[in-house]
Amino acid sequence: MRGMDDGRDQRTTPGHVAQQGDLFEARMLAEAIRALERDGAEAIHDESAELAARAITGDLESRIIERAARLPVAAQLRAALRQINTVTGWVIVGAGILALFAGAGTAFAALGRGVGGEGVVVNFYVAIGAVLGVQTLMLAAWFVLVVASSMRQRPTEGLLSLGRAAVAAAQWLTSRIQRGRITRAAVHAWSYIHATGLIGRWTFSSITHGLWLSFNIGCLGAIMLLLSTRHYQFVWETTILEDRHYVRLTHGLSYLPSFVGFDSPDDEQIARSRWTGRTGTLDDESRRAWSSLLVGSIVLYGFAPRILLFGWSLSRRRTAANRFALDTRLPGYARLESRLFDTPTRCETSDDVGGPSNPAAFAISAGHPSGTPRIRPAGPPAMVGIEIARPAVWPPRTPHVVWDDLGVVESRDDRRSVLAAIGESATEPAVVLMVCDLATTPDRGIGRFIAEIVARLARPAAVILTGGQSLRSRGMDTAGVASRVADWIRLCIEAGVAQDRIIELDLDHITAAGLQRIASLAGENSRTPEQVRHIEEAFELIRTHAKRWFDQGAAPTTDAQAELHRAIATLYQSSSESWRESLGFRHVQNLIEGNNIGRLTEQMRSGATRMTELLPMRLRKSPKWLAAGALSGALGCVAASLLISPVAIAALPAWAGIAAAVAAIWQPIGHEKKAPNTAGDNVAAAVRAAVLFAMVLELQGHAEADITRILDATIPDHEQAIRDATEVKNWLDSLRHRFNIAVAETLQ
Amino acid sequence: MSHPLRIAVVGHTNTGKTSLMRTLLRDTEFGEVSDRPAVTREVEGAPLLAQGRVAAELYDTPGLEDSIALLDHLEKLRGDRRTEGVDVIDQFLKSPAAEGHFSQEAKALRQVLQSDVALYVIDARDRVLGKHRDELTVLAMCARPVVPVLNFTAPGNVMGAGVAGWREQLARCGLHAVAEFDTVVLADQGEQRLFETMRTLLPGHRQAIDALIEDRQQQRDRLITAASNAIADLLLDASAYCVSVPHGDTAQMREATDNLKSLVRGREQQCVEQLLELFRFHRDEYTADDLPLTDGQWGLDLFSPAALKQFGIRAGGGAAAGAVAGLAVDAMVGGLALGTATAAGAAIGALLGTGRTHGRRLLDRLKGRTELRCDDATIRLLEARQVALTRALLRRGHAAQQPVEVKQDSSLRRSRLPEAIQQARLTPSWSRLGESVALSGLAEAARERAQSSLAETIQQSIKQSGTGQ
Repeated sequence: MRGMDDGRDQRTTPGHVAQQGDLFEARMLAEAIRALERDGAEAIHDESAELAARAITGDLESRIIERAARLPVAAQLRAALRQINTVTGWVIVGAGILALFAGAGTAFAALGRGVGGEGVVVNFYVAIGAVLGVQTLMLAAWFVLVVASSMRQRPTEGLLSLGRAAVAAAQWLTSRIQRGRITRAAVHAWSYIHATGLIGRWTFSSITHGLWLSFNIGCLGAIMLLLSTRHYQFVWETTILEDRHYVRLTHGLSYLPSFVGFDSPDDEQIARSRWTGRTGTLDDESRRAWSSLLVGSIVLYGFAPRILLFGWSLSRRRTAANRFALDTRLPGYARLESRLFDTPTRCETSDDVGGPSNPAAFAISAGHPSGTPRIRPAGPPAMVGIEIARPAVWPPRTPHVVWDDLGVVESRDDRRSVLAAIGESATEPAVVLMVCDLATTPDRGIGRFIAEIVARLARPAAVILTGGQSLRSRGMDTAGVASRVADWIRLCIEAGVAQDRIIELDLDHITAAGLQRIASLAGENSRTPEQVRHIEEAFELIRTHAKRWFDQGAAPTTDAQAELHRAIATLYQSSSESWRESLGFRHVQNLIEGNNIGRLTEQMRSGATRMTELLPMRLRKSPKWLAAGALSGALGCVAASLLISPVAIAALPAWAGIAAAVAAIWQPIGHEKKAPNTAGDNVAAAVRAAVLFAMVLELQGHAEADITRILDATIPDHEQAIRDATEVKNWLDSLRHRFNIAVAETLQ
Repeated sequence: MSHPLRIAVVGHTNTGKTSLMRTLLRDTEFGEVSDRPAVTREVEGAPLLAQGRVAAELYDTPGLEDSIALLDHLEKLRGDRRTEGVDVIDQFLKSPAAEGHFSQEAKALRQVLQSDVALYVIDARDRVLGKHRDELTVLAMCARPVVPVLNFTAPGNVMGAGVAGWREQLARCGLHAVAEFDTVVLADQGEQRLFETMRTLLPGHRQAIDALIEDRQQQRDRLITAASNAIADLLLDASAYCVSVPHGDTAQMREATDNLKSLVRGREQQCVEQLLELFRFHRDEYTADDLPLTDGQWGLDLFSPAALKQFGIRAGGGAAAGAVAGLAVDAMVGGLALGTATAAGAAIGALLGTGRTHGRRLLDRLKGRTELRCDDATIRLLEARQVALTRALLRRGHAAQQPVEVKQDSSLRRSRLPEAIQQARLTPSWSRLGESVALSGLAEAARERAQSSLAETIQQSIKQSGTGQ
């Protein structure tokens, strides 16, 4: 059974493995490793084996083989595979001995053992049939099956044979002798390879033919023994056939044996051999002729085909073993590809010239001769946009300050003309306010431009960072935005702008407070609107409403929620102009009076979008908070319009239409379409929306990024359950606490 | 050809040059990717392999940041109008300015001069600005073919100049062979088109580029085959597995149920890991949260009704009344439950093939034991999730920094489970879950066949849904 092939495989594998042993065994080992890994439901990771496999040149398969050979478990598996081979070998030897005896037994049975002075009468054709009949049938069956399975392209399926039985017995025996996952994997690999590949067919075939060969040898031996020691009278008999049939049959049978020199009876001898009921009618010559034909037939029709097929099967088996390749598409192998090939190494780079790793200092171009700018009288403040998308209102309309518009700089020529305008006019702008876009990546080019402007000024310059909103809508998370802002601030400081004169402010969503801050950069020191704290009152309102809803035990209706929003909005009436503007509620007043539900819905939708945009990325991903943002935006819009045209909520025309619109706005936003189930869920949703509304109104006048930051810090990841009024109170208390801390930390 | 094709990747800062490198190299480890400026400060190169051979060399360069001043500087150097652009660049590279303020630009330009082609990476979300035009002017002076590569073109990035605006601007600069290549969301043929665009400009390197294109195509096919094999293996394991418990023993039943669920969950996770390993992604890309795949998309437990809903799979079918969600309880006595009419033929075949196991099953039934296994809906869900994951991985660039997200796709719903699964249902020995025994060669071959036919079906659904978008 050993010595499956010693032929060197011609195809690949220059690695060590090929020299160590034979390639088929190496592949079998790899297969066993795969079986082991699959069985253990866990891949083996062995650095040194993978390293060795990466080191060789060759395709994936040869690397898999190399890795398998180098794994620590390989030795055990090799031993197990050897054991299978040994056991299989012994089983086959045993079966061969049995076949030998079976052959001899068949011969004894065919020739009979009677003792008689006149010799034993043996029906020649019955004897031939007994010895050759079964095996010829089996041969034919084998042939048909091999042809059939080749045609169906399915290697060994359905090929039930002696060989397969012997192998099955050997496997059964192996797994009885030794248990454990190593043996199991080895048996598995062995049977898998033999069941799926061509190798199996030829292994089983060679065993089958070998066993029959042994059978024939036993048979021939016994027959020779019997013919030498016994006296037989070969006869034939018939009931319906004529003599000439037997003559022809005998000649047909002897056709091949006579070629190799076996005698055969002639016509007359055949005729005389017909059984007449009397013994001793045959002369010695006829006996010898018949004996010779008997032996010749067995040799040529039994022994010869089997030995030829045995040899052929063995050689085919060797070819199959050589050709056997691992199916690298199997998941167990394919997954190794990334591990067994080097990730591409780095190329040598031509660029070894050092240079400063951080060319931070901005080289100011020679356009400006002297080191210090000359002192000029102050002119009007100037504003310049640097590579920004021009906002809807440019320059922003700040109270009491009129800006000298230097335009938006995009190209080299723009830069030149701006530098000329700043540096060469008779007056120097009271302040140069540079507006940069946070959505742009800060680069040295911009830094140098800012530095050149600063170098032309004797008075301090200022920078506004706008466009935080569009940055967020690119899907950048809070940390990303923060690091982008920090990068810009660093760049501006390096360019010579004082840190306290760099502010983040979205010009597209500017509030009154924001305009005030811009004006203050121009030296206009009008007081900032007084911040009034109403958050406690707002939360108290929410608490009492929630309690009422819980007491009623029914889900809060949309108008009840709108009523709560209106109550909150009333608290912040003094700053209403500012928040209405920044939340996009500018034109709401006429909509309700005009009963213009369509337009109102549109406004509500934009309010909902605006409010959700204020949420940090983390909360926008939470369906609950996304829905809360949308709901509070929509209801806030209604509240804002009611603030201006004080209509009783219940008296609102077409309230049903508004409710439907609200539902339509926030439902598709959530991931889960299903509405909240319990009254508790409904109250919780209403409370979330109201809390969000209250916090956003409280934070009016602050930069949008700050609002988002505070919301992020206030709302925890995992909220506690809200099932009754007490829990609402607890939740609100903890939220208010966090809110105060976040405000204090963020706004200092 | 004395040296392999050399490709320099250049562009403004933070447009995704290193991301492009990573995606083309299939190497998530290459360089450093961040949404900040000037992350790459040195030129770094890596070979592009085709069939194990170096077909091209890719060089990552520091971003061009101050092209406006650089162009000013170059024009001053030029002085005489007739000096050629390349000579001016050469002169610049030798000048002290190349070591100082313009050191990053100098590194990039030096690499361009040593390369056969420059890929100019553009963030399509940016507006077209003067500095970009100046960068193109400087690159044009290098006298090398320039292929603009528009990054971040996936739908959803609607801002800035966009693809159309950029194409128009590039055409004005005389650049018409433009490639679109989103390094985060891979289009099906994006990479191939990029190579093809390069091929039109580099007739001398046609062979190398063709080899690359072919290699990538083969790689993709191999990946799909391997992935569908892995999924088929999972499905066979899960659908064949069944446990038998005494009828009516609720405690044992519960224990067996939990056990089965955890086995199948574990097996699914194993398949997920196989797929990620296949596609060369890191484990932490999906364990960002404590969920199998992040963002709640995969947080849904395999056996929760919501998970079924997510993929639009209707529960029911095999689930008997009172069955645990996701499990079919087959308590029929007498073994007749084997023969749901459709599977009768297969049952006979299976009986012939694995008589022993079936004998025991029939006996178990007669003794009044209950059989427990995954129901059809769960099998469908397993398939749907893995196919969706494979698709997501196929479309994922190696520069992506967000965790994998899986979108629902209703095209995966199929009216009938494939033949191979029905066969597996009748052959518990096929399952490698739990304490399995090694299969005999014959059974192994049968399982193998079922797996490959199932893999073929899965492969089709991966490809179909892959192109159907």
